[in-house]
Amino acid sequence: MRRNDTIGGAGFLALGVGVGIYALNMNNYAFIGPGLFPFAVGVLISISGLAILIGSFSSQTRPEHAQDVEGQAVETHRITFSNALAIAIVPVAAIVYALFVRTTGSLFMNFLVVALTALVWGQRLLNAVLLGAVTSIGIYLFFRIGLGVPLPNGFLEALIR
Amino acid sequence: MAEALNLLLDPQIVVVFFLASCFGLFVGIVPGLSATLATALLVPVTFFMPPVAAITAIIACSAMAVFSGDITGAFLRIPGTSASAAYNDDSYFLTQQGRLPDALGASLLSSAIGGILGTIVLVTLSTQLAKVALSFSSYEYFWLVLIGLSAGVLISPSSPYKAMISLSLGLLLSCIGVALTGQQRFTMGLLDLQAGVSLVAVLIGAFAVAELLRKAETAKSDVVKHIPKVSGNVLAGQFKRMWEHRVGVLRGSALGVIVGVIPGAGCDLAAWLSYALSKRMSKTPEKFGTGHQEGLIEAGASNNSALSGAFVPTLVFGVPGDSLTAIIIGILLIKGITPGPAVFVESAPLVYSLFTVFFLANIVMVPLGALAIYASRGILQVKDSILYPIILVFCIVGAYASNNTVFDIWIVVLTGVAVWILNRNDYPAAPLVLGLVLGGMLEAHLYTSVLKSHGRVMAFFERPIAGTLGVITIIIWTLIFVMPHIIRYRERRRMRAQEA
Repeated sequence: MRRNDTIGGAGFLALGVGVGIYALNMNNYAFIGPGLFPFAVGVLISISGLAILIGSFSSQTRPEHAQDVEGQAVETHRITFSNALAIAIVPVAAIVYALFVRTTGSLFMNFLVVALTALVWGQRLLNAVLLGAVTSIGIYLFFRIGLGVPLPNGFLEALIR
Repeated sequence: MAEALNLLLDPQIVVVFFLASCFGLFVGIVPGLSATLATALLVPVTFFMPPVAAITAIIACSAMAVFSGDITGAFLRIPGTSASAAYNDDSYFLTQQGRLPDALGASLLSSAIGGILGTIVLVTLSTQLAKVALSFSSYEYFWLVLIGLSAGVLISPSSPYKAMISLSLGLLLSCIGVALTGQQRFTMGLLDLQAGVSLVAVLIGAFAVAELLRKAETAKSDVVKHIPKVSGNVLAGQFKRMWEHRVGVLRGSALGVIVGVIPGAGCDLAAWLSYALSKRMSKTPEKFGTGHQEGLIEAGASNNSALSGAFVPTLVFGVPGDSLTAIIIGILLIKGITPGPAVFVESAPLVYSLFTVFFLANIVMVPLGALAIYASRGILQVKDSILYPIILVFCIVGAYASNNTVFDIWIVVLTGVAVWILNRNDYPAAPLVLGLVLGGMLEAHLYTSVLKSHGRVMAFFERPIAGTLGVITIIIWTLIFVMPHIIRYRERRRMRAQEA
């Protein structure tokens, strides 16, 4: 039994059924309406999820592998203590950015994200700080001045102005 | 045409073209960064550009990135993009033998020639097909979009059910927001979801952040790269080689365009098929994979001509040829331009600008590509711990900047983590993006067709072209779902017979 496929298959089956019921409700159980397309999608997800679930119990497995975003087969690396932090910093940095950028401003948050990520990924402290500073200024120049995109202002932007 | 040239001579366009080309070359060289990622990273930037500049940036970037993936393959035996993987070994061994011009010089010239030939086909074929497409109704478009989505599942190397899940998730994402009937769907009461899920945020999450997470699995192991110094003329003797292999170049370009035109196929499939065909037709097939130019030249021409070919269904029908053109459709839609035959009339200068940019990109690729080869040693030695944090913050700021809302950053994070987990379990990402980009179009044509036909299924097959496309769709679905089971059943019977 392939555990990940069992969990995934069951999960998608449940998702598909849920989407289908939600969609039928939208249509008041009529055929044509805003729920027609989501209902069809729910059916597709359910059938595919069921097939994956059943397949996970099969002894005859097809070779499976992790993929990169272009679909090339790549080696799967176990998540261990040493790489867990490097992996976690990616979404955590983005979440921290989303939570605090409007308060602290983009210049500071850009610096923090780059410096912290570089540090966790193995750069020395001074190099990480320098990289963060240069990148933050570069992004400010590129987006704010180059493209004219308004980014959140904070205490560092106030110092510049 | 004159108006198109005028648009392109705008200094802003020239600067955008040059910078996007350099960006594409840079990203393609770095292992782990793909042409698709380069394009996804450009999406938030193109958001703020006028349509011609946006399309110029994307075409220039993707054309350069498809070639520059060959550079990493030649030096490190790691293909920079999946399209380069087909001839990676030949490229690497030629470089190891001290024959860099025969590896990268040949690849550069064949890519440029393939791209130019592909563009000629793009110009002639798309304008002719557009005339045919004017007679299409919602039934034809429904089947065409479905073929594009189904082909994406068929060609995926994953299990068909996993590819279908990925596609369905994309279609589900496209349902979020306000339906055609004006009713809210799956918004969960959130104001930010009423306009639907941001395509820019999903593209960045699926192609950039997911890749960063995958790279983070080996973050602390910065490998020391030994890269030979590049000196001399990288194009020395290669024009003569192109002439010697002219049949291969033409054959590769032709195959590339044919594959590129098929919805759902792409540059990497074109390169592999071309390499395989070259080996089949070669007088010395045993030399392939040991440092031999023949396959490299043919496949190199093929992958760039496929990029041009992929624009044919993209422009004429709004059905992407691959995930790269799916992103381009997304950009066109964001700019308020709906791909289809009408775009040749309503936005003719834009279309002809696009054709011209393709020609220019493939011509300018030669000098810029040569410079990139000389600069590659420095670029390849940039550590991941420097490069990837910069990419991460660029993704975050890009996502925020497109709609000026932090909600899109949440979408980026959720999509990135979800796609990373899916990828680790052999679920592909490309069908998800295809589903999101085309879901709205598919639903609109389905809705219109069902209303016109009063729910009669046979109406979908009554018109000759619609009927043909419908049958093709059914054949593709049969190939996807039924054939693997039939093949496995026959295998088991054969093995039981052998055991007996």
